[in-house]
Amino acid sequence: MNIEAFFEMGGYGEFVWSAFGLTLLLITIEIVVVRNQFKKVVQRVKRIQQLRKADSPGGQL
Amino acid sequence: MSEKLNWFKYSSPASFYPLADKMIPWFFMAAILLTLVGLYWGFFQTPDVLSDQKQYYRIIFVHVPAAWMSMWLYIVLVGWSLIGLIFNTRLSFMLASAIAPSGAIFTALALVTGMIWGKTSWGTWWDWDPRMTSELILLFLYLGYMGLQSAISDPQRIDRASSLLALVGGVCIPVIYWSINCPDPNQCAALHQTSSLKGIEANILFAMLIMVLAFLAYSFAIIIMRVKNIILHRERNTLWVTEALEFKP
Repeated sequence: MNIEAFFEMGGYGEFVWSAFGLTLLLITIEIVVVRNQFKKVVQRVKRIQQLRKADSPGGQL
Repeated sequence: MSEKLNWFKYSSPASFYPLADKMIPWFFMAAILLTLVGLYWGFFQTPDVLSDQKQYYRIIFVHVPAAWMSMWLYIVLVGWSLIGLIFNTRLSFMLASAIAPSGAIFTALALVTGMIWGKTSWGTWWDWDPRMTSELILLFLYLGYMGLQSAISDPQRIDRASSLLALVGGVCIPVIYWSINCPDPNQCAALHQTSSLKGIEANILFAMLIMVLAFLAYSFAIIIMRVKNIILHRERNTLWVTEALEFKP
């Protein structure tokens, strides 16, 4: 099987590759979104801790 | 007995969190390796069993794993909801809600890859056949579950309300299954072929099952990643969260 025939998929290349491409795309988006959520929630927790520290006179939680 | 096995040890978010951290890279590695093997086998070790004209069958390597995961994840979601309702364990509810977005994504993928496949083999993108219709309802169930969760602010009410919705929606799973596997074929007006594994050529079946395992490993990885976020968010006012993040850059 040469490379061109491989990408052609017997004339159905656009269908096959768009199915695989969409899968890759959605999974990549999912990973990026979950990672961003993690960064956000960590930032938020740290902010809460800072506010708490500033709030308590002895600097304790 | 001096040492008692504590079955509920990892049901507390505080002890599950560090465990989750360790598991994620392993599941991701497993997912990548399995995908590589599955795709290699699916594209290069499948002799052109079907004639050259029908190479669109290779969509099977993403379509079937996505469809299986869409149903399997819903069953697991219902399972955790049920455990949460019975034992009132926080982590169970968190796991259930971490599953929903992944389930929705797999359901959407199953539908879209199925549409692409349908266009090639049936000549139409969409038909209201029982399998497609019930899978679409599953997508709406996942979305409804997620919508309900974001519409309520009190965590305890979120858990109870959305678990109930998940349980009631569980009726969809047998409907999806029997929409193509009904005992009397004359009663099924399905375009979709039945899900028998017997008629599949061995190499295609092998590649497909490896891809199912790859999707399963990926689901573990991403769901554990997401449940970590939910744990941190819900337990943000606890001391252990403060401690857990203190020693991390």
